[in-house]
Amino acid sequence: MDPVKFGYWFPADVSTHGPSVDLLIDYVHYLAVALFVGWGIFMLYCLIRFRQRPGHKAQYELPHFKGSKYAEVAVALIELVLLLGFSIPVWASIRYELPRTDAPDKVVVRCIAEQFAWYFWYPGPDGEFEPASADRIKPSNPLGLRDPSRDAVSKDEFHFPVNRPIVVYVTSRDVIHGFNIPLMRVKHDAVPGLNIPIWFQATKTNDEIFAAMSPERLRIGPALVGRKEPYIAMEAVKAADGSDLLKSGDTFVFGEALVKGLTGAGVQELSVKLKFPVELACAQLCGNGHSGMRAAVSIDTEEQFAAFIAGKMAK
Amino acid sequence: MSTAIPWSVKPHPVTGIPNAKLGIWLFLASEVMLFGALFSSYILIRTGSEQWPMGRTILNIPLATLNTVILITSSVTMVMAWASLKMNQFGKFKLFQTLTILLALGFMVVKAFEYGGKLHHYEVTLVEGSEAADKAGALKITGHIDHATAGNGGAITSWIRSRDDLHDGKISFVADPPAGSHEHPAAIELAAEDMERLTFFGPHRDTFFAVYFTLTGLHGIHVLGGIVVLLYFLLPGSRMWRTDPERFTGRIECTGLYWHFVDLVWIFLFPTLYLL
Amino acid sequence: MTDTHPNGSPGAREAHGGGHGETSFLWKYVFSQDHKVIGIQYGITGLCFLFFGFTLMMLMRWQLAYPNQPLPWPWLAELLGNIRAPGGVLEAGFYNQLGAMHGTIMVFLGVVPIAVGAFGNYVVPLQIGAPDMAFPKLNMASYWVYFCGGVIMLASFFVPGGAASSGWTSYPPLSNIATQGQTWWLVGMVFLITSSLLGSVNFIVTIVQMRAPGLSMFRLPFFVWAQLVTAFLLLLAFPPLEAAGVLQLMDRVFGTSFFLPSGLVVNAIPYAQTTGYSGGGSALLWQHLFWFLAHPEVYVLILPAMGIVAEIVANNTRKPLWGYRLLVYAAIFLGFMSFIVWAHHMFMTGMGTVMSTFFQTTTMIISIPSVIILTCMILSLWGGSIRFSIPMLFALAFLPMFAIGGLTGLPLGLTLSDLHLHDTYYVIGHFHYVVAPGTIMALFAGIYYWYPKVTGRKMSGLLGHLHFWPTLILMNSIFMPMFFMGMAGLNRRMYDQTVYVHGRGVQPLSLMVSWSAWMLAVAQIPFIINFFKSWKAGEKVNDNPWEATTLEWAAPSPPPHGNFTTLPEVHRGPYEYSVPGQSGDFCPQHARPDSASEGTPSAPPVPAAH
Ligand code: HEM
Ligand SMILES: [Cu+2]
Ligand SMILES: [Cu+2]
Repeated sequence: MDPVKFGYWFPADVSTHGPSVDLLIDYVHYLAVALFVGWGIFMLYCLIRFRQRPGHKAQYELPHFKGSKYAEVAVALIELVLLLGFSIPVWASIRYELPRTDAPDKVVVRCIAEQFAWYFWYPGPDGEFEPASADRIKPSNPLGLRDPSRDAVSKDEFHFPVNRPIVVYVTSRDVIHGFNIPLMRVKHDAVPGLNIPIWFQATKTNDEIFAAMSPERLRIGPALVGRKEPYIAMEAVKAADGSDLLKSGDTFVFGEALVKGLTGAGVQELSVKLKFPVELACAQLCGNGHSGMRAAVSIDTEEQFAAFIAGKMAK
Repeated sequence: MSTAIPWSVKPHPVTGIPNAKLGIWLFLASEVMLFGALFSSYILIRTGSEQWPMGRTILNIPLATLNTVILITSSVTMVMAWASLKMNQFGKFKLFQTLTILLALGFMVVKAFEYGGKLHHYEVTLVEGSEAADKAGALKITGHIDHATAGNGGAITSWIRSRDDLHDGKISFVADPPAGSHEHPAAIELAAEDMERLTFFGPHRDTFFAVYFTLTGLHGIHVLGGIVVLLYFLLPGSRMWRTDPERFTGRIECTGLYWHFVDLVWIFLFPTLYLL
Repeated sequence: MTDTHPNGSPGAREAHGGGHGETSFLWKYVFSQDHKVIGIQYGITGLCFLFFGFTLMMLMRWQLAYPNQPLPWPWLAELLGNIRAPGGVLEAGFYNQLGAMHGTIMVFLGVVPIAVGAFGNYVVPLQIGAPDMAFPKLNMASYWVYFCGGVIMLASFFVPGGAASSGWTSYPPLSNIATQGQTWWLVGMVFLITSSLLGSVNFIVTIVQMRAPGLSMFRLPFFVWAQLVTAFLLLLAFPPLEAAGVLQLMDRVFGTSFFLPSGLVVNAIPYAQTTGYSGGGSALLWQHLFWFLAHPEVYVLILPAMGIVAEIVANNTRKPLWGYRLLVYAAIFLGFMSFIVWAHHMFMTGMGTVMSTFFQTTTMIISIPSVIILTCMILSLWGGSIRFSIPMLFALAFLPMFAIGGLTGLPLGLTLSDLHLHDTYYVIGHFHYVVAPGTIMALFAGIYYWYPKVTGRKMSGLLGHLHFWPTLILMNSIFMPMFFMGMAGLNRRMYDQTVYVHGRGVQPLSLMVSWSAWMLAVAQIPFIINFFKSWKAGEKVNDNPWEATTLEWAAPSPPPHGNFTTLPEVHRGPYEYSVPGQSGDFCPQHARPDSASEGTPSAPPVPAAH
């Protein structure tokens, strides 16, 4: 798999439908660049050739430009092809096809967003979702299930198996949020009052993506305090007094103490990898905690996924 | 050259109307968009709702019919006022203009009674399994509050908006007559703790009343605005009749156009809210 | 014009007659009914708001460049206070206020008032040869209602909880449960909408009824056409937002549930328990009403800019615009289509295939007239004798900048590609290319172009160059990186983008954006100096310094109350430059075909526009 990089056009893509999205974006940009360069060259040529200078006079009679009409028709045709050939059919297939047909190996998950957390709700072994009611909500039963022990509920950590269609019913229980996994080209609003199914299928596991990801050099600063996501240290760091702050390969979470220790040791940048390199972001402004409303995405093997569900059920 | 604005009185040779008349038509076009958007919202909310009460079962049709008649009559008197000016009968204009204003005020008074009825009409949601619920035979009852006593025994005379206003007291509640009858059942005593929710029929009660109060309220504001303009042209504004009768007639015509529009909005509101 | 005046009664202040005595400072400059004074009022107020909105953004850019680090100047932190910037670090809620108010102020208090209120008011009556707007009192009222709306918006920063913080789009339920500032925002919007409605009625009536003799619709300068279409958009698109505002006010003040579906749970407590709300509303209803306005609003932001650019391009190429009628038809078609594309902002809300097919198709269709307009303007350069005056530089820059803005709209209009780009910085880059390097450049062009008409003096060319080049470069280094940030998956409205690994990946770009934005502020200093200095000390010029053809240049500079010394009469189309067989290279619209004074030979009348 290609290294995971950001800021140079698309990031890596680990979903089955992603390439068609990227392809369309590329094609539209080819069209855009072609038009822009065409206009630009023509404009520059005019600016030089027809600049005001002694002896040069503007023409009142206008030449008849056939070319512009052809260009406009060509643009319209290309847009038509992109629309009819790509956008409409592919969109229809990625948005609507699976939830209607009955894929036997599909995994159905419910995602409930709230300020500022994501809940992922999996049916228990019976394959049924328990009835839920807002009156029963309490910290030990955040979704208000009738019998919380019969279903698996995960907060801010989204697990699903690789190479299987995943159907997610996205909703929110307070304001509008946005269910967005950039590396999978998945995005849908979580609207209170609506429960909308979307589906996707991953092509790489978490471990594969982790291996392909180059370590990032994190700037140590106040922004790290309060981060909840686990990292894996790619280098060892010693504290000012010589004791080990971090060993290479350690899994850790930034906290006030660690950030203080690192700053005390004069560390400005730290080489780390995210333990769950695929992230789920909230894409709709949802309040003061909006930018921190993230969930980790773990694309599991079958065994990892089974173990995850079993672990959640045991609780 | 004079800086007078051209075509402010005389019709423009091409469009055939003076400035103000074109202006008022444009303004009305934007008003159509405003009420159009509100009607569309109403349709969207209504089609999206699980159940929607029939307006005629909750709203007061006789009062609304009366108001429809009043408003249509006022449109007629408005036309007469303008026609009187056209025929150079200023005295008659004053008469019809006054009549229009009186009718408009009448409309608002009827509206006030209608609103008042809603604001003193209550719905109680009783606590499931409570004794009161057993006695009432239903979880939700509507009716009016005969009298209310606070927890410390004193009578409550102010308007009650929610359960909190009872201060742990109780109410003597007279339920609405059952369907097909006109007789109120006997009053029942309800303590604050028997009730889950106590609410009057205000805009917050449900989306039906939200739509009802918003649309009729906005329409009422338009009527009030109309009254102000009509009064202005009846009293201080009518001085212009002496200096510039043609312009004055034009202004009354524009006012009339607005007034007919307000009337028209009501003609839409009446069936959609009260009958359907 | 021998119409007797209204209220001819002695002492009536509203008497509009030129040269009447009663002109105290207050009535002449503050509560003036003269379209030119009102235009200047709009212009100055709008520029102040534009600068204020930009300042809010500069503050935000600190947090984005240096997340959670204290502001560089202690006095700034002190000014903001402990609630907005505890320990000098911008607080997340305050950041959201800044974002929402930046958008609101830029759109509704900055660009529209300048593009329509200032340029429209000042130039349209002059270009159509009218003494004033059709309803001068209404015109004054529009300005003051706008002003009140602005004051309410500003005041909302100081109410408990601060200003509105739910984005300029104010999506419920977030905006429903937001603090009091949101109510102020709604009331402010009602004022701004009212002002726009009054203004648009005035514009349409003026353009339809008050054109000078001989000025047929197809002899109107393109700028007037652009203003006419804009006025129709304002007139018909704003009321639905007003309706939405009324509904949200009802929700917030009277506890209705128009935008609140049943069963909400806020802070893990059923919302009905805490508020007794009834539910039964729809969160998406707001979005439909909002975007029904806000897409036409985009064209309100861009059409006047296109109008300005068309005037300047024709004037500085010294030849007629290429395809004048085509431009007009394209603008009308654009205006019409802009009412049926709104849901392309809602592709991710779960609409059905039929809806999404309809709206992507209309969106692709609306891109065609934009391409036509741009192509016409660029083709207009062919065969010209191009003068690189300062207004022309800005107008020329507008063309490629608007092109980038328009072209990047394509992937957002197709649902499939929007899937990745929706709500990312790509969107921010896209619409800013339209409104900032696009419209703002055109507004600058307009200021440099019409300044001599307003003051009788030209702005300095040297300072103009010092303003133009850095602004052009910095605009691009602000907004170009945003496409790459969006491509990487970075969402907009992020208080701290380094939360995400893809955000950290593009953090260097974010630094570049921030520094460019701050430098852009510095780059405006030559403009500010130029603007104020030239008022009194600029080079004095004649009434028609650009040798232009349209009617505003037939009036004295600055035009007196009532505008024209003699009633202009129009004999030809708007852009009769370099007419063959004539001595001069321009032939004003009002020049009599038989008079030789303006370089017009006694040849038969020149045909009207093309
Ligand atoms: C030239 C200087 C400008 C800069 C540097 C600038 C920068 C930005 C940035 C970085 C954002 C995104 C903030 C975020 O997502 O958190 C933004 C949002 C926005 N800007 Fe600008 N902008 C400028 C001018 C304008 C102008 C001229 C307009 C309108 C005419 C405008 C309208 C908006 C709107 C509507 C938003 C969205 C606000 C929201 O999220 O609710 N901006 N601007
Ligand atoms: Cu969120
Ligand atoms: Cu749009």
